[in-house]
Amino acid sequence: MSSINVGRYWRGDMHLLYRLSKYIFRRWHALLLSILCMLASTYLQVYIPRISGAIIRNILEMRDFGTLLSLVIQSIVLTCFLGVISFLQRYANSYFSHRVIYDVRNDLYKAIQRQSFAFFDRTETGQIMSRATTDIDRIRGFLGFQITSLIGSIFLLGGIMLSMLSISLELTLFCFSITPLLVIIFVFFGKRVRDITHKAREQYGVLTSVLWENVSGIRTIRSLAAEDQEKQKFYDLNKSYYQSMLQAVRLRSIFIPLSALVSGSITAFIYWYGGLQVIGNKLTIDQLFVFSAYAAMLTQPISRMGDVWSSYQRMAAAGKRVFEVIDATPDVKDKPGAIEMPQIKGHVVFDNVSFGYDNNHLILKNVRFEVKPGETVALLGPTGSGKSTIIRLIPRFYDPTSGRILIDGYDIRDVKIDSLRRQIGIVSQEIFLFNATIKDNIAFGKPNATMDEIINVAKAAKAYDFIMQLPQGFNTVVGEGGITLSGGQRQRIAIARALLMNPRILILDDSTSSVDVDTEHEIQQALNMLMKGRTTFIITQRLSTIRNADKIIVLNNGEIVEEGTHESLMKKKGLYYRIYQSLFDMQGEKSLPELKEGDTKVIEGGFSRDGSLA
Amino acid sequence: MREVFPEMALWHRGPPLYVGEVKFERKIPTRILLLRLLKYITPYKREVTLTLIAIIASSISNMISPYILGREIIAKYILRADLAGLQIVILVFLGFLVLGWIANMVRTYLVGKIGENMLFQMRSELFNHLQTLSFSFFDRWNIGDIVSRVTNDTDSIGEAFTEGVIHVLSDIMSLTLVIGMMLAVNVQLTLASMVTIPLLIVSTLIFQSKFRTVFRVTREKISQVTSKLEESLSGIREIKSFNKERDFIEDFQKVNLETMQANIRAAKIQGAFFPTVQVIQAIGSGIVMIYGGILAFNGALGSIEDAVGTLVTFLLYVQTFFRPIQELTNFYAIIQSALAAAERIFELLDIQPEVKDSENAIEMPPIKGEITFENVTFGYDPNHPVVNNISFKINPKETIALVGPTGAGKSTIVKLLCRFYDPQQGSIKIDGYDIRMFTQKSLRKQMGIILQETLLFSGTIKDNIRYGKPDATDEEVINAAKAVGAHEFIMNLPNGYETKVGEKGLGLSFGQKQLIAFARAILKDPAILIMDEATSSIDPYTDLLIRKAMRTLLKDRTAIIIAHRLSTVRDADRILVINNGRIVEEGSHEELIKRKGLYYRLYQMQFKDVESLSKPVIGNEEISSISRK
Ligand SMILES: Nc1ncnc2c1ncn2[C@@H]1O[C@H](COP(=O)(O)OP(=O)(O)OP(=O)(O)O)[C@@H](O)[C@H]1O
Ligand SMILES: Nc1ncnc2c1ncn2[C@@H]1O[C@H](COP(=O)(O)OP(=O)(O)OP(=O)(O)O)[C@@H](O)[C@H]1O
Ligand SMILES: [Mg+2]
Ligand SMILES: [Mg+2]
Repeated sequence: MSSINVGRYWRGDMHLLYRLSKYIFRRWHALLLSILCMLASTYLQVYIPRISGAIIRNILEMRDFGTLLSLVIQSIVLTCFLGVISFLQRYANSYFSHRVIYDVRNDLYKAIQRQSFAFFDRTETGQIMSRATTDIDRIRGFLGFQITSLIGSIFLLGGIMLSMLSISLELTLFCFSITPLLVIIFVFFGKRVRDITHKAREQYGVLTSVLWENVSGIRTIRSLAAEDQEKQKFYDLNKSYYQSMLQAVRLRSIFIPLSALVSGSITAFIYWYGGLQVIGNKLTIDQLFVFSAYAAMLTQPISRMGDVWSSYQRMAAAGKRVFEVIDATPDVKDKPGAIEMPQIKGHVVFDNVSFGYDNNHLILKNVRFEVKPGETVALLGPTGSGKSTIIRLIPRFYDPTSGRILIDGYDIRDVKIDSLRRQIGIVSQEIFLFNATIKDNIAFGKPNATMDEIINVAKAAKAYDFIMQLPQGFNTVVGEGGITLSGGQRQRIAIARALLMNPRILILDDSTSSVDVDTEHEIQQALNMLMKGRTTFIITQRLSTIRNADKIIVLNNGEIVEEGTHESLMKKKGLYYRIYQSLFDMQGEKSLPELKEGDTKVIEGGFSRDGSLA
Repeated sequence: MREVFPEMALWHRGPPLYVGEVKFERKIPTRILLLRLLKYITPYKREVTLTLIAIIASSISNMISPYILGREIIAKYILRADLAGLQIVILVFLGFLVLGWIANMVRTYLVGKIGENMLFQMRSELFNHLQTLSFSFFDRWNIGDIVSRVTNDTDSIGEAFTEGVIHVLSDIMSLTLVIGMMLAVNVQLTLASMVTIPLLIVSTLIFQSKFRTVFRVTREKISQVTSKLEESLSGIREIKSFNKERDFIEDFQKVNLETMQANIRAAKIQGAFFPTVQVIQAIGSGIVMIYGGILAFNGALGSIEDAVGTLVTFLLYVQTFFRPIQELTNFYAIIQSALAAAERIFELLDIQPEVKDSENAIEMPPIKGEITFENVTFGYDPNHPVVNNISFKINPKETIALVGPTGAGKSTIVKLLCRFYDPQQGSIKIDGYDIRMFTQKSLRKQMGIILQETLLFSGTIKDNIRYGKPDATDEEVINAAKAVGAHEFIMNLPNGYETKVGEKGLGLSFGQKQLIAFARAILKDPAILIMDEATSSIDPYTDLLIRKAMRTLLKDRTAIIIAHRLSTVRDADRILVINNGRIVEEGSHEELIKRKGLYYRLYQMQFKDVESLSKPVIGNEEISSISRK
């Protein structure tokens, strides 16, 4: 499983404890209460067997009914008291752990929301999900039980030891000579079990992500008739996970019954050896009874301490993964003292911008251009030339590696991100709609929009007619990702969604590729009206749309190769001219526009010059 | 003293998490759920029998030790100072311990084994079932929901089986044995210790009804947390573009808060139950002691040694008697959620694929590629037909283009041909045979389908290209990439064909993904090639080159091309113009231009400006002359 690269050295367990302690101290009173109650209840647990001993002695020796009654009542009252205390302890503990987890989960969610696009590029959804669910649960498992359990166990162990000592030194020494054996058992098996569980967990993670990918890509899988292959893949993973689990079962079946055997043997020995002493009058029967009750309690704190240790280890791994996300600094964030972006007029300047998704591979190289307020700019270029990348820099989805981007003279890194994005409407190349009604999807950026506003933008995006034809109209639920709409319908909903924001800058990334020309033309006209005086960036493969732009920027390999209006570029007879001409080649090679030296590289399509195929 | 085995937490798989919409009120009766679950165990009759024997053996050994301790060791030997007898009885005691140990080992192992087998079966069955379900199912269901049924739900059944059912069985076993033993030792004391039972029953009932609601609410809440999370992760880019982070955070904090509150409430009730039982137990023991004391004083329990022994035995029995009841809450929660999980699993398993292979479906033999639609009508919702009584015929090796306004039903037509859905009326034939005669897999094996929604899988580019033909050689992969013009950009990537692309093909531009998907379809060397907007995001120049290449590529196959870019469709042998689910025009490019219908209008629209610039006059002749210039 890949891990999140936070670009930051993780400083080990101490750092984790430090990070966690901040959350813990915020709820210290609950923790304190829980620990105090734990101590009190441990004390009572150690004390109550003495009463049972006294009762037996009473019956055996004094035969006094009054004392018997008062002892029994004492024991019941103490148990009630113990009950109240242990209730308080459990409650305080749950309260504490759930509060802490509440804080951690909120912080994790906020951290996720704060991350920039690059984070989500490199992190699988499943990874983040498992951090926010399984890993957080592990932390809670530890906090909710183990801290107090550890303290209680130490205290209980001490109490048991003292009580045992007060009864019989020899027997105590014997019992504690067994303890190392117990510890060895727990440590040895604990480690084996942990290793195998860890492996199984890992396999399970892979299994889950394969399943996830299968379900989300099921349409593609079916169309490639690749089900058998998928079944085999899943079967193999399922099988190896099963085998690891079976291995764990084998270990478990040896390990778990062992502790009962050990504690039972201790009891047997105590009765044998203690019995001898009772017979020799060195011990009374009630002392023996009480002692054995203590001995039976002995395995509990020891095994619990082993449990604390393994739970700690799991928590440490989980906590590391959680805090890795919480502490990750987003690549793109408001700088201190960032100002509100005033209303954008739409003057956009790319000043020598270079950018790469990873540092050693530049996608954009020294891009510089200027767009005046109200202009419509068309970006054109071969596939993979960096068009989408350029427009992703404008709302600061990524920050340039070098150079700067100015809007109305402000470096966009100097203004608050939300004040910038609020004024930019973007329709991206791959559209995601939420599993909600069409109305909610359109109103996504402006939940308080009136129905009139929604209808207006739907009309402008030429979505209104088809929406009204759907059985539930605006209340139709579109399915996950918008899957129940046709490609063009989805794009138009996304355009309406962006228009509703009333953006000062509108960015359309190939967002009418699945819309027929007729409709596209109408959308274009509506946009001309709506976006009058505002800046529009448009990426499209339809030259009829590009032609109308105020400025055309032709990109190739991340560099601007030409820039100008349609007329000036046609005159220049450069790449634009040739691309444009290619539209007219309908019939055969003979009219394929002349390629110049180096053009084959331009066309990333990778055909040799004569268009022949390998 | 009552924590059974805290080490158990080592294997605890964590509380079940639910994703997506979950129904918490069960519809299927418990009995039926249990019966169906039982089916997964029936293959293991031998193991189950052994397990039951082991449970009985370990219960007996558990029950016998208090008896030996009190009545034998203390009363008969220690108090009577019988040294030799003591040693023997201690050995007997140890014998029972070892018996219990072995029985426990066998039980734990077998239960674990049966459980894991059951889960393995269930997961396989669910996954294979998913592979048979139709598109209409996936249109309606959330991915997160499906995934959580296969993972979390099976997990919680496993947990309930290994940790719940077996304990409940042993507990019931122990309970009967305890009562039997107590009665055997002393009837009066037994009755005395039962005095608290009504109290116990009443308080258990009260708590149980509270547990039910409380557990339901906590499950509901945690599932909301997960689905909120999942939703915001899949839409994260939209959330950031639309500045919605704060709203989503607020939303999330709200459900998170509710989750916390529900959990704390649950903790309060759960935390109260345990001490309550403890107090009732103390009262029970108290009554035993007082009554036992009185009996002992009266000499009704025999000699004083016997009396003490009996009392110790009883005290231990009362503890064993109450332990299962204390644990009931834990198991109750586990078993309830397992039943809910079982229902969700069976619900999924019970869904019948709408499109399925007929009983005597045959493998499709190699085809020529003739396609016929006969009066086909289809609607995703049968009341709203999207395809209306469509009939057409495509000859082998012909290239057909489908054009028309968005939402006209073009993609739907090809989905019908691939049998992703079955038409409500009419029939679709390939080489004259109804496609419902063939198995779906063999049908699609001979088709190369490029869907409108381009999707790549995480893995290398090479893996992606040969996804539909895993045994393809590297050379075949490279040839396919070259044929669609993807080779060069792939070679420019840092690791060429070995470059890893992320979830959904992240790290490639959209056009690049389309090219990979194209190569993937071509690699199958299909008899029928279907391209639904396969090059919509590819620049005109590359597209032009692809079109040239397609002349070779399409020569020996039947092809259906859907495109809005009319330059792409011009080369087709025949063009079908679709509008509102009907074929409104049909013919070659030239014929349709002459007809001056919808196609002509769309065409004009696309080239109007272009032509007005290059050749000022618009008209068919002009257009064709441009094209042939
Ligand atoms: N998230 C990403 N991580 C890494 N590399 C990326 C990422 N997105 C795009 N690229 C790479 O950056 C280059 C430019 O991609 P971009 O999406 O900007 O192209 P484009 O011009 O929009 O192409 P198209 O017309 O196909 O949409 C491509 O080589 C692509 O592989
Ligand atoms: N899975 C689905 N469930 C319900 N309705 C659907 C589904 N897929 C498509 N539709 C509806 O069926 C109609 C036809 O859709 P189809 O995808 O066939 O259109 P199309 O002609 O391919 O359009 P486009 O050019 O925009 O891709 C649309 O109104 C659409 O909303
Ligand atoms: Mg792009
Ligand atoms: Mg379509």
